[in-house]
Order: sequence, then structure tokens, then C-alpha cells
Amino acid sequence: MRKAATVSAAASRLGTHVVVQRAQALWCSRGLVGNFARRELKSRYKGSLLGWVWSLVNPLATLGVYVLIFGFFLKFAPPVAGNGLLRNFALYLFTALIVWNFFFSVVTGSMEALRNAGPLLRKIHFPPWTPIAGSALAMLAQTGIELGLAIAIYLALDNVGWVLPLVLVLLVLLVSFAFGLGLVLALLNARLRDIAYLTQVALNLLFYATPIVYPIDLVRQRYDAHPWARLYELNPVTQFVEAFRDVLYSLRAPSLPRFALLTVVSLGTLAVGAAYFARGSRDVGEEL
Amino acid sequence: MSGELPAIVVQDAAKRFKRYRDQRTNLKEVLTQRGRRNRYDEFWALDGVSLEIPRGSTYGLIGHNGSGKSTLLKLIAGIHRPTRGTVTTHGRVSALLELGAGFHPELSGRDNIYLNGAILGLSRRQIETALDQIVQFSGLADSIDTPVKVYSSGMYVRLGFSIAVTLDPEILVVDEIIAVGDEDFQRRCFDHIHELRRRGVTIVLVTHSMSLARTLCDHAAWLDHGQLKVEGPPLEVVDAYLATVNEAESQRLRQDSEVSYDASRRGSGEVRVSQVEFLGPDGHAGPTGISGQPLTVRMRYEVQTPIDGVVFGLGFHHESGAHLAGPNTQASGMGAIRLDRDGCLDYRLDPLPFTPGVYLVTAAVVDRTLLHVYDYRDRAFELHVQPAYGPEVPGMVLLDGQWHLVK
Repeated sequence: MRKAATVSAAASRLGTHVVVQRAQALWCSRGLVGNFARRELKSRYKGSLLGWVWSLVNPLATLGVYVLIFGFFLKFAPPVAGNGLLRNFALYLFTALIVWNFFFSVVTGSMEALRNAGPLLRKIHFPPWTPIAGSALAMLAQTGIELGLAIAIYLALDNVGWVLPLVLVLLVLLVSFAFGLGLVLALLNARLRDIAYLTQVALNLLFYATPIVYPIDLVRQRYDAHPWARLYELNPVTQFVEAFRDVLYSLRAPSLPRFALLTVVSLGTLAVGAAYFARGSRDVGEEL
Repeated sequence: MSGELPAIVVQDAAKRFKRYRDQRTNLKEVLTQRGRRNRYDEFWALDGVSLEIPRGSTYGLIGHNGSGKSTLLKLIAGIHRPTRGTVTTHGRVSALLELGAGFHPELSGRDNIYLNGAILGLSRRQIETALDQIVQFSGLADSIDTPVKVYSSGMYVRLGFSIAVTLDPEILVVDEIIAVGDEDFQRRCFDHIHELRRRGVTIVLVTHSMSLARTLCDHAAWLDHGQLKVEGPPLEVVDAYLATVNEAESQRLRQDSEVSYDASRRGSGEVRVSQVEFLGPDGHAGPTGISGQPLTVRMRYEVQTPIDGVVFGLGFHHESGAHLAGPNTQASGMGAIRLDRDGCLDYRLDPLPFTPGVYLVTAAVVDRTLLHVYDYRDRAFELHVQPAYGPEVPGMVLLDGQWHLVK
């Protein structure tokens, strides 16, 4: 009996020890993550004349095309914004596009980051999640710029509410969700290269399965006739897009169920992704 | 206590790799070949190796290509996990398996110092403190802010090494990096390794240079097909390894000489030079000699018909073509030689008066008139003269002159 107790006590001490060690290891890797992010950002626009300007030209050009097609030709009408005056399809779309761009680039960037780190992982011992986190961090910087621009425009148009700080909370959840998913897909793709192509197809579909270029009401109108269409709202990206629009465009806090759903899904995805990656990535250098 | 603990304990370590038959898996293969499990071969790169590496020692791993040396290094460095067995390290491990790994071609040398340093485990502050030293050490102050894609391969490696120098490991794992770079760079590598040794760092290195294994290491291990062949003092291990290599080589040469017609060979064949060997000061035969150190050129001959009045000669050509020397037994006043059966003849040089480089050696057996040729093997043997320690001397030959200051 006594012996068993000592053993289990030792085991629990070992347990906390391991947790502390893990946390220390994560913290020690921050420099590496930062360096991977810097590498990505610095090399991104190297050799181009306009440099960082491209990081804004690109999303704005996409936005312009979408606005032209969906706002001007198809005449999708946005709801009235939170200040009761503004009714602008471009802003309504841009807000959603920021969320989508981040999600898209983290998910696809994760797979690329791990694959590119393959040769390095066979030469130097370092945690394989760090290039993925670095790539996500670089994407976050891009998103920060886009978000800053959006908020500046909303400020200029006097459409800003006290719920604005919630953007940060939503952003943390979005990062968790996209990064968790990125970890899983990056590892799967290391084993089976088809995953990257499958993901491309899936993301293409997901883009239109999310109310980005059209208002969500267009779908909701069909719920009465087709009750199964409610499945549409289970898409976490839809919930994210709507939550960001709640805060930035409509100036209201997202509904509690929506917030709860996002929290559970995001943190769950991150936990599952991290656990799966920790277990499966130990020999990933050999598989890449 | 910790001083007595070995720095690295390898227990029955084995590593299995999958060798995929054809490229990689894709979805189609998974769906259509399910159940067919042999898409890949398995092979054991390392198969049950046990050894202890004492703290503060320099440990050499030798063996032919594919013997598992690098795999063992990677297990020690933590890059791979053993499939079976354990590898335990006590101390901070730094691995130098490739210099400049992880450099991004588009980024400047400076940016890459931060990146590579972080990958190697240095904190930003550590890199910042060492930055000037790194730049100075690399000798790249002028081009540190240009992208590394325009660097020459030498500059690339130099920058990588300069970053590695700032690491402060307790255990250093080195894979043949000393083989790259110019002489100056190699010297610096050696100096650095000696410095680390003085500091009591445990060093594990893979090397194909037997002289390096002999001179630098305190212990050595010879791996063969993933298994530990011999372990112990470097002299013994190197000898055991070389004995097998030489045996394999002479076997191959014997086979080669049976099939190939030697165009550079002529003569009537009563006496034939079967082999020329170069023996260093330690009496070991190899294709190398050390500049300024004693060297014995041993000619092995085979006698088909007993014969009298034989003269042996040697010719030394620099790889650039210059004919440097052509000693023979008659000119040296040795007199006519009578040969009845196979044997060998030594030509002793003390010191070997050539500077480092590749020399081609001709061996000849002629009669005393020097007109009739029994066997003539024109530049058939290669002598690799290696540098000794000390300053480099230009030219091809070392002169044994004396300097006197006359006032």
C-alpha cells in the first residue's frame, strides 16, 4: 500500500513537472516562432517595388471585384449598420472578407509551412509546430493591417460602438480555430499530399457556404420552406463572419449562443489539433 | 557526481526507416491498394548499438557510407527517435549537421543570423550580443546586408559556421562539416573544436578522415551496417577499420587488374611491380603522406623468371604535370639487384619533401642499361600529400635550407 502511494505521488509530481516543462518549452520557442514569422513577412514582398503596399492592394482589389459583381450587378442589399445611417455593401463585405482571408491563409499556409520545414527538420532538432505558428503569426500581421484599415473607415463614418474591444476576443477565438485546424491538416498533408488539394476544393466550397459575398438573410429566408437548411448555421466560419459583423458593422455583441458555440468550437479545435499534432509530429521529419 | 555520469548513454538503439518504392503515397494508392502493405521496404539504419560516451571526451564515429553513423548522430541530437532502445543525453546538445541550414535566400545575412540562431536555440538577446562577433568572425562585414542568395557557397558556409561558434553547448554533435570549406576555414573549425575540447565539451563527430580520428579523438567507434563493430581507443579502431577497407580495396584491385588492360603499362614482364604502397611514420599503408614527415614508398614486385642486374626506379609527378624527381637504385649506388622470388623494395624519404597536393607516382623495373624495360607503370599510383600542422608553404617542394642573418 505504502509503496503504491509513493509511486502515485511520484507520478503526480512527475505529472506537474511535465506540465511545467511543456509550458517552459512552449515559452522558449517564442523566439523561434517570431523568427519564422519575420522570415515570412520579410521575404514576402522582397524584390517588389511597392513592397508592403501590396498587402493592401490585394484584398482591396478582390473586394472591388466582389462589390462590383454582388453589390452592383446582383444588387445584394446589406442591412443598415449600427449607427442607423450607414448602409454600405463594400464595408459589409470587407468585414467578412478579413475573417475569411485570415482563416484561408492560416489553413493553407500551415500545410505549406510544415512541408517547407521538412528539410530543416531532418537537420536540426526544433519543435515542428513552430514554423506553423510562425506562418499563422505572419498572417495575423496581415489581418491586423486589414482590420486596422476597416476600423479606421468605420471611425471616419462614425460607426463604432462600445463593443469594439470584443473584436480582440473574437480574434483570439479565430486564431485558435484556424491554427488548430491548420495543425491537423499540416500533419495529415505531411503523410498524404492529396490533403492540400482536397483542402483547396473544400475551401472553395466553404467560401460560398459562408455569408461573405451575400447577406445571410438570403439563406435564412429559405428556412421555412427547407428546414434542413438550418444546417447552414452550424458552419463555424459562418458564425465567425456573423460575429465580426455583429461587432464591427451592426455594433452589437454577438448573441450568447453564438459566442458559446464559437468558444467551444475554437478551443476544442485547438485542443484536439494540439493533441493530435503533439502525438503525431514526433517523427514528422522522416515523413516529409 | 555528474562528472562521473557519461554524457551520452546509448542502449540497444535501433532505427528503422521506411524506404518508399515509388515516390509518395497519394489518395488513389491508398484507396486501390488497401491491404497490400508492402508499398515500402523497411531497413534498419541502426540495429542494436550500445555505447557510452564519457563526459568531456571527443568521440569519433567512423565507417563506410550508409553504416549508420549519421543516424546515430541524429538520434543523439534528438532529430530522430530510436525505434527501439534508448538514447540518453546529459547536457545541452547542439548539432551541426549542416551549416547554414534554414537560411532563407531572399533575406540578408543579418536577418539570417537571427533566423538560424533561433533555429539552433539561441535567444534573441544572445544573438544580439554576439552579432558583431559573428559578423567579424565570418569576414562578411561588407555583404552582411545583402541577400544570401548572392553569396558564394563558401560565404554561405562561413556565415553558418560563425553562428554555430556562438553556441555554447555541453554536447556538440558534428557531421563531417570540417570536410567543406577552404583550408583557412578548416583551420578555424579545428581551432574551435580544440577550444571546445579544452572547455570540457563532449564532442561526437562523424569523420571519414582517419588521421582526424586518430589525432582528435579520445575514443572511437566503427559502425558497419548499423552495428557496432569495434569501440575503444581511436588507434585500434582505425586500424581495425582500415584493415577491412584495405582488404576490400586490394580485392577489388585484383579483380580490376584481371579484367582491365592497363594502357599505361608496358614491359617484357619477367619482373612486375604489383603494387606501390605509401607508409607513413606509423607504418600504416595508405594513399596518403604527410608533408614534411617521413614516408616510405614500398614497391611490391612479382618475379616470373629469376633475373640478375635489375634496376628499380620511381618517378614523381605533380598533378599539374611537372616531373619532380626520378630516383633509381643504380643512380643511388645500390648496384645490380638479383631477384629470385616475390618481395618488396622500400624507398625511404625523410622527410617527404613535397607540399600538400596530389602526386602521381611511376614505378619502373629495367635492366642495368636502363634500356630494356621489364615493367613500367606510368603514373599509375596516386600519392595524396596532406598538410602537416604549421604554416602553409607555397610551391611544390620543401627545401631543407637554413637561414642565417649576415650583418
